[in-house]
Amino acid sequence: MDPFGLSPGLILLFIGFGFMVGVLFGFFGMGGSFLITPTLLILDYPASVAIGSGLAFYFGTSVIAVLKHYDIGQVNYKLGAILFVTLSIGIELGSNLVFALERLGVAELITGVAYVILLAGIGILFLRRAMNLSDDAEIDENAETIDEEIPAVAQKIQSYRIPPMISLASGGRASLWTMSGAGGSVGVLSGLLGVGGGFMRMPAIYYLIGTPLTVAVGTSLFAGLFSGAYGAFTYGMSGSVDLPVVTMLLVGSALGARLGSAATTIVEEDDVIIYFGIMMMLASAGVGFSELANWIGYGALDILSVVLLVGSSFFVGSIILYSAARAYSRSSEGTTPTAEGND
Amino acid sequence: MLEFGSFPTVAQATLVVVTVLVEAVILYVGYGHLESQFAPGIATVFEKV
Repeated sequence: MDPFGLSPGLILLFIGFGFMVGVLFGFFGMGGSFLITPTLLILDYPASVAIGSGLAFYFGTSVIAVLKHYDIGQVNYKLGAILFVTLSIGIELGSNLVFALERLGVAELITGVAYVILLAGIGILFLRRAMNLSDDAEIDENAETIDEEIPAVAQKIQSYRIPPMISLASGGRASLWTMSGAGGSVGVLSGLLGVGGGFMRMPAIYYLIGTPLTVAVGTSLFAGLFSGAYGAFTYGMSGSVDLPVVTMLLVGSALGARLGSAATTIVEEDDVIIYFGIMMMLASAGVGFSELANWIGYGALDILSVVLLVGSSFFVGSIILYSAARAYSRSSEGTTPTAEGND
Repeated sequence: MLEFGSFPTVAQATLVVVTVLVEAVILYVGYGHLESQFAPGIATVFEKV
């Protein structure tokens, strides 16, 4: 008899994978749902179930994140409410698109290809950041200024004053259309791909709407919590959330996130960021191989795709845990490791 | 296995959201309790290793 309708092997896989995803994203400060959905796709879950379960997982991790930061920084509730509404409309559109693609029989293919692009894109961003770090070490003084510069395209969008303009409690005014555009487009991607979208939502609030960074983080978390609940509800309506899978993933992830978050105090993010970039590239290749396996009917490629996606997460998660354990041991020997890694 | 298939769709979706919410709260509180109980002991093990 299989408890929860899952074989013991799958239960172990989901708890273990959830744990490593938790370590990774507790450390790097992201939700991690964008690794969950492609893994479920590779394991042959229907696209709607993979996406619905990914969104439910994202909702669970958002609840834990809000509990952890119970004051959730500085939240702009007016902006949060507008974003919640527009995100929800976007999620509804995205989910309807998934169901329409399923009826056409191409949902797995489209979401798979979208994930190849998304994961590779994130991987390239992190690899570029890792490479820039070595350059920044030489021009350390200028680095912070560069990071905080608002890109020209974002300044251009902020400069549009299309009414109605909304006053923000944190100061300044932004066009309702900018807010709706930012929330709606992130929502469509969330509904279409099953990602929480925090990695897009927070920069959108910060760069396009122009709030202070602390307000952007708090408001992103606030809007993400409710939009995650809405996404889980939308897919739950069609029975497309696999609760046992979500539960197992959360059991592992909640523990891993604690360890990953604790590791940030003794391991420098810059030391492992290149591995994270490589992992995302391998994950992208994994989803690509899975799509290829479906296309040419060669099952061995499916095994390779699972090894690439799950294996690379385990590898990078292990590096973080090992680095944290080593740093802690050193500190107990009398040297004082720092988060900057210059012990 | 939890089986919500027999519920009307809105109730089914609400149960999904509530279940995930409750699970997340239990996991957060439960692991927090475990951390406060066992973290000092685990730290001691690391110091010895």
